[in-house]
Amino acid sequence: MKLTIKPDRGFGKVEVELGELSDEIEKLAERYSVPPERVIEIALAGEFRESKGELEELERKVEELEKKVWRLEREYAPLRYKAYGLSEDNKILAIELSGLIAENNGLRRFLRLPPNRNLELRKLISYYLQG
Amino acid sequence: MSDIMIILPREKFKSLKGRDVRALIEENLPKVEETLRAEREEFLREKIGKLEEKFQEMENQLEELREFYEKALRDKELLTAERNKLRKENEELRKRLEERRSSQTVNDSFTERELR
Repeated sequence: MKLTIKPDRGFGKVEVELGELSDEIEKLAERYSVPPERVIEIALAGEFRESKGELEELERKVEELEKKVWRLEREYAPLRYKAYGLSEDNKILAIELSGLIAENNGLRRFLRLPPNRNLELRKLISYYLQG
Repeated sequence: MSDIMIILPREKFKSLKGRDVRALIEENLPKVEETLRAEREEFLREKIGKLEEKFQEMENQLEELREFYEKALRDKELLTAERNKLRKENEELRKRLEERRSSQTVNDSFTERELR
């Protein structure tokens, strides 16, 4: 593999035949999921960093967290579906109950009975009718 | 692997002139690996931060959803019970009203006959 290096300004270029070195560059690039150009750039720039030796531990932690998030996602979707279904059922019940309450009040008026005031139930009905 | 080309800042490029670039790369490869490890560690640390945030957020959302679901379940039971109760009560009230109306009709027909 031939490597060509050019300056960002001006003319000129350096051409290098990498030979077997290209295999090592390729391996490194693959292992750390970066392009081979990045490997060469770091090698030539001379600005190196030191790792804290935590790579394996960090990879393990990421994997663990991803699994935990995935488990929550798996629980969330069906529960949301069930909750939506329940809320729709309650809406239908609320519509039916409003009709029954109106009928009940009418009948009580005709029969001269005191009206039925169930404030908590009315609140619940309007909650589901708005939803 | 095909040929590759990289562009360096002019000063860096000039400093390579006359040097054995291949040997320089080869010599620096262990340090490159160390640098790549450090970069990957940094990337993973950021990823962990984001994942922890997402996990917390999802856990809160799930908790809210569980509460909503349980409330909806209790409400459904209550609404169904109230509906059944009202259906029954209305049926009884309708019967009482019917009875009152028919006795009213009988009374009316008596009054009518007496008037004649």
